[in-house]
Amino acid sequence: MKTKIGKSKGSSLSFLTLLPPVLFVIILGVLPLILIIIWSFFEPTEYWIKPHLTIAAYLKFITLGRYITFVKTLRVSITVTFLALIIGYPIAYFIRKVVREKFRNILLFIFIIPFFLSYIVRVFSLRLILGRYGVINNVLIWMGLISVPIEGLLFNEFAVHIGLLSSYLPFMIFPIVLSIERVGDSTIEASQDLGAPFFQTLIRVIIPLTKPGIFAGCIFVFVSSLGTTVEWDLLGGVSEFSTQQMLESLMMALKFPSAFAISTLILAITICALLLGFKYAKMGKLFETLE
Amino acid sequence: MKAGTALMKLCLWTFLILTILFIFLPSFYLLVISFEPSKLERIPRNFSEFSIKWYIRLFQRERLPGAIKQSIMVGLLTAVITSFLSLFSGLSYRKLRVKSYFLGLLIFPMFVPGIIAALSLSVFFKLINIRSSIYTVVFGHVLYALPYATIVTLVSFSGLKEGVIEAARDLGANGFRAFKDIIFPLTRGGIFGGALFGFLLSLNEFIRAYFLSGWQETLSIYMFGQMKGGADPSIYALAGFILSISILLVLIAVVYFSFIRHSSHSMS
Repeated sequence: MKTKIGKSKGSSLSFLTLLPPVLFVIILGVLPLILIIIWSFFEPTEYWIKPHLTIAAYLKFITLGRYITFVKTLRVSITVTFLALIIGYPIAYFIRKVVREKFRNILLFIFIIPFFLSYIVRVFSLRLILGRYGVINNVLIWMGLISVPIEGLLFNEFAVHIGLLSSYLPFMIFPIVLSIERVGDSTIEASQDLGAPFFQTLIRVIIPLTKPGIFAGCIFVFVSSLGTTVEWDLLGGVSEFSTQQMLESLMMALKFPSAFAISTLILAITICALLLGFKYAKMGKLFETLE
Repeated sequence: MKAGTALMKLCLWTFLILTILFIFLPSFYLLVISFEPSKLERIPRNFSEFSIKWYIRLFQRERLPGAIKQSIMVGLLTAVITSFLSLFSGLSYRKLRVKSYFLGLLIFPMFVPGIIAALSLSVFFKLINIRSSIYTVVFGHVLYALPYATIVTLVSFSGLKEGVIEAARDLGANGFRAFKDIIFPLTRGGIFGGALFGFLLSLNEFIRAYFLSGWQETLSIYMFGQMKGGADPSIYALAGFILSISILLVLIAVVYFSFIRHSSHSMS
């Protein structure tokens, strides 16, 4: 009897403790997004918007050529995601399945550190590597390979790619490590015992089983690349212009519906990626360890 | 075959170390350069040349102390609110039936591009007539840090056995007592981990602070302005300063967590 009372008390209490985080995320994390999606169909006034439905903001996206910048930003984000996957997958596999346990924890810790460091500083420091008097040029001159510093390393799209990759590579590694953890050693051994060479085991067994991690990592890197301005501002120079910077200047110029329309498009892409991830790649499995 | 795997291992190690260098070397190089006394972008020639000249010059700047104060305020508030919210999540998550929806909602902000989160929150505050201040930045930062803190907290709660809490209840402990004597000691690693995530993510965050802060600049906003603007070498000192704070906090956390792990090992 006593435990019964205790239990019902506990569950009403757990409902109460549930409310603050849930309400916080719904009010500040979800509601504002729904609002800007709706507001992207409103008409601009001088300083704000009025509830008069129109698709003018989306038409301007086409007619004013804003889609060109949008497509470019998408292309850069996709390229960076792909590069991060190519680099991150072998590293995640190596850390989780090859390295001894003692080293594994140290390596995982090393890849957590970037989350704690200022990404502005990390991006800015790349200027010292890629710049005219930077490390790469100095090393190449010292080796006698070139006599005049190479100019094309900084303040262009190449530098933006490097910056994004350096910022968001750890986001790729962790979900993949989590999903590789779920592939038992016996599964891999079974495949190899049946005579499959490692490469075939990788393609047929390991990669399909780690799809949740691959998808989650790709979405993290892609979304982060789409949401940041720092890499473009500090490494892209004046010639490179991204959708994020466009959003900034549209907000500055109080052109709200146009900014909201572009945000809505980015959100639509993000949500499609998420739905695909949860539906076809079973991304939810990644978090089962928490249950 | 054996030689092949050894070679493969060597290649992977090399690849891994190169990647780690790619991530960390630039920041480390910047840290070293910040001690070069001349205006040149180079490593000090020998040990006696290392100088804190630019660091001294940095703290003579007028706007910097204000920005540091703002950032510490925002960071601390973010840490406290974030850890409370994720502690609440941890407490209710154990008994929840719809776990995946709950978790999905709480980590959803992780999947929203930073600039969209910042922009939507800034117009939302505008709509409900809340003026930009460091408090609006705190809200933005809690939203940003909450998914990370929640995951860290839930991991620590997943090690908590229901039986232990029930035993405490059966022995007559009320909810608060059970929390204070059983739940908190066993999960404090995750709770403090969440707080640390909150503070450090907030300290180093830029785009949300930029959209939400109004006229009160945080350290990141101040630094970003300096980086875009000038070529004064004290910018390296500023970057080095922020980098050092973060590294110091991470080191303190490492010592603390290894201490926790040792003490919980000796307990069990």
